[in-house]
Amino acid sequence: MLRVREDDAAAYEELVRKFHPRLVRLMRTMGPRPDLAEDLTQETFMRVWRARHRYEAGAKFSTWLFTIAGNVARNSARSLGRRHEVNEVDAPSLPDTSGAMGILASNALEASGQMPTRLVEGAERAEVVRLAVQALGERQRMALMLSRFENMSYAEIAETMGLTTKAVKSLLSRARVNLREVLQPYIDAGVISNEVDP
Amino acid sequence: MSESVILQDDQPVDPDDELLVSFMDGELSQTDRKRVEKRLVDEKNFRERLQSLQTGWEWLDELPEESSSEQLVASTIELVVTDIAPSPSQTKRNLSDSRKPFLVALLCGLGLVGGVSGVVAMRNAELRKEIEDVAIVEHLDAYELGGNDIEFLRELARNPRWSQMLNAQRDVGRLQPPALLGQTDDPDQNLDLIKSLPQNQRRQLESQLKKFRSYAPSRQRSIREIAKSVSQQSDQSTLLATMDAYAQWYDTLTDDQKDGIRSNDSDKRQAAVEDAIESTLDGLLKRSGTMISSENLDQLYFGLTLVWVARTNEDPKLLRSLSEASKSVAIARQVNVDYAAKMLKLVAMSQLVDDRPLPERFRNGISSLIRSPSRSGGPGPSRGPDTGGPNRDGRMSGRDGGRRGVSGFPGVRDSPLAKLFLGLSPITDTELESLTEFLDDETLDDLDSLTNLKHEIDRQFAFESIMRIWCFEAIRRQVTAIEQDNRSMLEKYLSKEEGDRDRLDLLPPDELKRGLDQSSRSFGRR
Repeated sequence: MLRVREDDAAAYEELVRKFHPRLVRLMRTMGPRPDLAEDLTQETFMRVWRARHRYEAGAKFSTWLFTIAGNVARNSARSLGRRHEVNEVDAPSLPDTSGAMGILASNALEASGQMPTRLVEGAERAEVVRLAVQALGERQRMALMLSRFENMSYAEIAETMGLTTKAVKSLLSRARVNLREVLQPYIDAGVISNEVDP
Repeated sequence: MSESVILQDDQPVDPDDELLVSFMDGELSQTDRKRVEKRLVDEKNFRERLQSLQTGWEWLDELPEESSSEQLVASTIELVVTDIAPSPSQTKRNLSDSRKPFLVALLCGLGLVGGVSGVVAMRNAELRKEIEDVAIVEHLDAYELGGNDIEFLRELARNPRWSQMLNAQRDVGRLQPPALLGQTDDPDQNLDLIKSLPQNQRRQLESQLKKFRSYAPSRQRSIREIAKSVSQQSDQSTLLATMDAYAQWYDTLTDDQKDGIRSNDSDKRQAAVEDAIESTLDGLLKRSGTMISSENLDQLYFGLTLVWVARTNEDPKLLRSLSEASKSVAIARQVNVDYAAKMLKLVAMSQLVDDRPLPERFRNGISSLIRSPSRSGGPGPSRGPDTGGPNRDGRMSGRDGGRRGVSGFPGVRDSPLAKLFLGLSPITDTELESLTEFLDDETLDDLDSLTNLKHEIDRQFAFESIMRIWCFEAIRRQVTAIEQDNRSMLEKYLSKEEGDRDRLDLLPPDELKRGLDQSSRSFGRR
């Protein structure tokens, strides 16, 4: 990133190559729609390029990158009008979980009312998990993704999200409890195994 | 399930849940960690709570990984380049600042979008010069080598052997595609062409540009003058193509050949050029074995087996000799008789198309399988009269010091092996011609290119040489396949990729054996 700061285009391309799959994965859950993930990723990289001179040596690039990504995702959601305006300091975001929860609820009911004839496999299982994550609030989702897939510490997540470490701890706890609550009916109904495939 | 089960950010979370999540994330102090570990040992409910929290966490692995997308990378870079393209209102100083990233962007694997206005860019004389230099460096080697001897290059272009050589090289992929830039002086057109180049070519240009920029100004000037002079010739396009091809070809020559071509004596120079062209064509013939696809090789092998069958039908003694030789070799070398039979049949078939000594033909285990002495050190006759007998140095090979010829064989001349090989006459022209029916059109085109020579006798010689090379390659592949199949189970298992070994490990023994046998057999046609 220091080379990018000096207008090194080759270094910038290197960064794009390295980080774009991770950003796309993040945007699939953080963006207002999964199909917007690549556009949002590009937007994030454009902002990185434009802000390159403001990057401070010594700062961890991934923290900076995911801060920008979070802002891009949030702005996109707002501009699509699917979320209420949120004061990030004062109030938690009101998640528009109705879509995801509705799908999950109907599936779980259907599953529990029937003899489990088959296990949900492959893409279907991925979809169940995706919907479960989508059912979480925006900040819980962000904290979860950064912790799980970027292996960030609480301190790093706090820096990325502009929160205290204590707040991150609470967010992650709620996120994991919520995941458990959302997925448990599927496990109880035998629709998905309690064991994760190796 | 209702939304009420979802904890909002402002709702309290169970302290034990919070504690366990921090524990799993490794965010507890040592003291707290020990306390949690003690509780996990003592309290069953606490353990179950941990397991349930782990469930959702592990299920996140189900979210698909995103694969790398070249398209996304390329389009992102294009957007950046659009962002940094100079606008008309910028000052010259600003333009200089952005020039480097612009040209770097141009060549460092970055693409351009249509949004970069050619008109805007071309207003800048400096940038125009940059584009011109890029067009020059694409032909840098050509200008440096042949720029001062245009008449020689025109003469070369008129040489029919030169054209034949180029056609053959082109058809078998040994000539780089023609250059794109420099065909026009129009910088706008060149800019469009640069935009269309793939990334690796742009990087190549960047490397050439750096090389050019490292030259002394006088040298740069000289090359620019040559480029200008070439562009003003009436046959500019042909001349430049010849210069490029000449530069590529010159690079492949030996020092002696280069010295000859650089001679001031025009006759000597001409002779050196002709020799070098012949040498290149000869090299193409020899390397032609690598130019044929495996599918065509399989087809050729099939054709060869038909020739073999016809031969053994004409002379049934051949099959008897093969059978006896297989048994002898199997005993002598302690190998499976089927394996010996397959190998010997392939060696015999190779005898039809290749008269080199066996150790030269097969540089692998098959040579040790059959260590039969002959005048040339290998089994079978050369095209000369049958001599048999000991090696050139008078010794017989074999573990017993060669007292009985090849170990296990009663004597060289009377051995089943000798009878087999000596009973085979080389493949005829008609048989070779018939084998072309098994080649696809593309390969036949390659064959035509390689044999497109002036004189009939040269054409025939080239045709025979190439077909023999291809036939031998087809047989060699079969030898490799059988050798692979003859490996022990352990050797086959160890040759597998790690993922395949993991899969095989889970199979019951009989399926494992079948799996190893089948995967060996899938290599090459029997």
